[in-house]
Amino acid sequence: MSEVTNAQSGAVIAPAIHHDEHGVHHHKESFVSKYIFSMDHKTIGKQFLITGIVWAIIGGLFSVLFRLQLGYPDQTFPILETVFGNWAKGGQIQPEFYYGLVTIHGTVLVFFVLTAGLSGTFANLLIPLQIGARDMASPFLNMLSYWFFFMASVVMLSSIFVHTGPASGGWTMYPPLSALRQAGEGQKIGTDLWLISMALFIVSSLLGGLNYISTILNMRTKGMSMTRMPLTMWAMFFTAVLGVLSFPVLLSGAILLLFDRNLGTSFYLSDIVINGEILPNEGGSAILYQHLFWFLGHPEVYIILLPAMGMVSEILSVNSRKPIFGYMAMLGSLFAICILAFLVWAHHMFVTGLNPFLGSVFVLLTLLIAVPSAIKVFNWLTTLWRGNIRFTPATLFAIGFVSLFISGGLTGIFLGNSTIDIHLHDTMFVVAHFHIVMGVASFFGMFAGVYHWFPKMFGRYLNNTLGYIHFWVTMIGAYLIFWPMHYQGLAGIPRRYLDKKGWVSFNQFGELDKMITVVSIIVFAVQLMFVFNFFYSIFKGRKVTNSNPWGANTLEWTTPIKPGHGNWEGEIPEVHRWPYDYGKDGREFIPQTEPIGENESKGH
Amino acid sequence: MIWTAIPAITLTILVGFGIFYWFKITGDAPKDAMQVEVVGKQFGWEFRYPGKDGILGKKYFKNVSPENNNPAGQLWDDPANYDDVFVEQEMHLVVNKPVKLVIGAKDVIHDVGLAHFRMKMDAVPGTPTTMWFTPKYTTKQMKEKTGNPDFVYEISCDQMCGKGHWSMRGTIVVETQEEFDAWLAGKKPQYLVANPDKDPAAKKDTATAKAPAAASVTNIKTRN
Repeated sequence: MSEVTNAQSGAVIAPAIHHDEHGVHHHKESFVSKYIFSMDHKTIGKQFLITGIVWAIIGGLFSVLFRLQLGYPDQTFPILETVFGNWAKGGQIQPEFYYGLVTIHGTVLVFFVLTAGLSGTFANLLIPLQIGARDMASPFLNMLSYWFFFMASVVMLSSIFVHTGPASGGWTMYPPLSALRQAGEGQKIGTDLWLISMALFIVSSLLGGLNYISTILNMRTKGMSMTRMPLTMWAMFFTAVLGVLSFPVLLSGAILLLFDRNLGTSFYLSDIVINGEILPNEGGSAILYQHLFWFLGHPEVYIILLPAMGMVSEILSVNSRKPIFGYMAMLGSLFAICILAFLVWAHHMFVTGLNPFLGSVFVLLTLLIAVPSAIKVFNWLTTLWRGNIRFTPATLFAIGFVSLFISGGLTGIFLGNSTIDIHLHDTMFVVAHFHIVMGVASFFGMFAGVYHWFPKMFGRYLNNTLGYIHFWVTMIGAYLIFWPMHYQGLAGIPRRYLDKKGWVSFNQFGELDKMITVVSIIVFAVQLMFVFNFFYSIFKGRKVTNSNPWGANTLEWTTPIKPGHGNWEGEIPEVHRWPYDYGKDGREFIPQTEPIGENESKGH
Repeated sequence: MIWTAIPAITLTILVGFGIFYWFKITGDAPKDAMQVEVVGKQFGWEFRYPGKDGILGKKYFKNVSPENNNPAGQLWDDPANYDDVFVEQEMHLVVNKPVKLVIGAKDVIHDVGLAHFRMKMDAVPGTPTTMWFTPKYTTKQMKEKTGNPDFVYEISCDQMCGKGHWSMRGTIVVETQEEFDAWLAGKKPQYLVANPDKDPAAKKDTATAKAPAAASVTNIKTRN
């Protein structure tokens, strides 16, 4: 290692690598410093992933429970009473438990799984590896970021076990419902714990985000200009920017809510008579919270989607053995989405009494997002077009992502148009829309990433057969579960209705609800199979023998099969080209580290 | 570029139509519209009709007092309140007559969801909202059209409001003007319910010779 590089890399990651001669971590590591309080970005990424998996199982299990209620509202399941006691009195899920389940399901899947579990995992794992850095800008803050997430998880988990139950105001936690203890059981200590947990989570995601941004901006290896970065890096970068700019707004909203709950302030409260009790609060605005919430809430959708988009771009290009179509257009559309993400939040509020003119502005800005989205979709399809596609499980999940993004995106055009939204708002149509476009689609991006980078994480492969079963059942199941919900929504069935028998207008879907429940149980079982595959393969999977198993161009595949802390033995490689030289000049792929040849054809 | 242009043009058309109808729907209600106040609470609906003067009397949340027969918190010193009629759970509307709903909530945010009219509007405590529409078919006609003898227009709460959210149901009866007038005539203004001493009809029972006052009450009740 040259003096210069050593000094550079040594200076930025001083806390982790004091006196390394070869860029690899040498001093003794205890179990605790290697696996628990680790500052290695790869280990932290795995910690985020495994914590995310645990939360995904909990969140998924909750959805199975409330699907049971929706599919079989009249049946009793004595086992539920055995497990949940009073929450499922007589074997039937009680309304307050039901609302606790949907609230925690939404919260943990949006924030703990698809934010922390997705960008926490892959930003940590991939950023230093793909830009050519030995670790994050601040490994210590990175470690803190995980442990704040862990604390948030502990608080959220404990809220499930308190006597009055977890928060049950819906994952959006709108006041006054969430501000008033008198409003229900879930609005007691459960909601306080929810708010504290979210505050810890926001700290975690800010620490992570600042780290990702400074690492990408400052620590790229020689030759890695911004436009030579893989699209995954751009996606992670924009994701982090969105998070850093929008999460503090949610934090302020949550803190004001804590004040209203505990200190008697009236930020969100006015004119309230609850259970016959007249409250003194006057002058607050319940709608203020919704503005603060959705100013994060909408960018949050893209915080969830962009990492998936980035990974899908990379995986599709690698596995169709073709350069990504329209690199600059991809980048521009990411940027456009990032800007527009901040300008559309009020489309969640068309029916709050929002000024109609303001509403029309938000309609326009919302539908503008369709343009960059369409550009991305066409670029993915043209990347696949006439490619020499290797249908690995990762490729299939990436293609599945594109499919779901198209179907979910099209229903977004319905909802973004306020005229149609005043009918569809808060119905099952919305549930179907966002589960397909951001829930399942991002999960597909995440699965694609796990299948693709598992060899880098653990030096072994996931089992392919289980991978194919996982993909096909999940793909078909996702459409079977969420497609019919559009019809329920068009019929006007509101969200969060746990039993529709009492309604003349909504009681015609009993059989459909049963079908959805059965499919969702099957899909959940297949996810458990994936979790088994994941943990089994960590220890028993087929070993990786080739340091570049997918024949990819990016830098992470130039490291040893199981890289130590510091990633590269010897010098960090220099980059000479963009990452998408596939099928060029008769060569299948040309790694980024290879200098431009004399007779090489020009450009991309 | 063609792939940018196609979605852009399609969306422009969709936005154009959308916004045109959006302003039509959210614009001012026609002048001949009747008014009804709708208030959501955990877990039910309350309605107030403005009575003969067409004006909903003032109210203040600290006056809410079901024990004193004032569930809406009306201010009894406002004369516009004298003829306001208060009912719960069932709203009556007149077919082909525009109606403007003045929407509020007592405790948490609810939402007046009218699946059959393809509309909804949040009910927010402290911030009144409005929505207007014209019912085109009476409940009776809908029963024939849908072939469902049990058909009824329903009001669903569309905004998560607590453990009874899923069963927060109200109903709407759409009927002809005559039927509506007869229905309203059967209701006593809340002012008189809360202040029986002001009720000329009640006084008539005790002091028999109050014929002119009784007549004026009949007038109020059979307003058109």
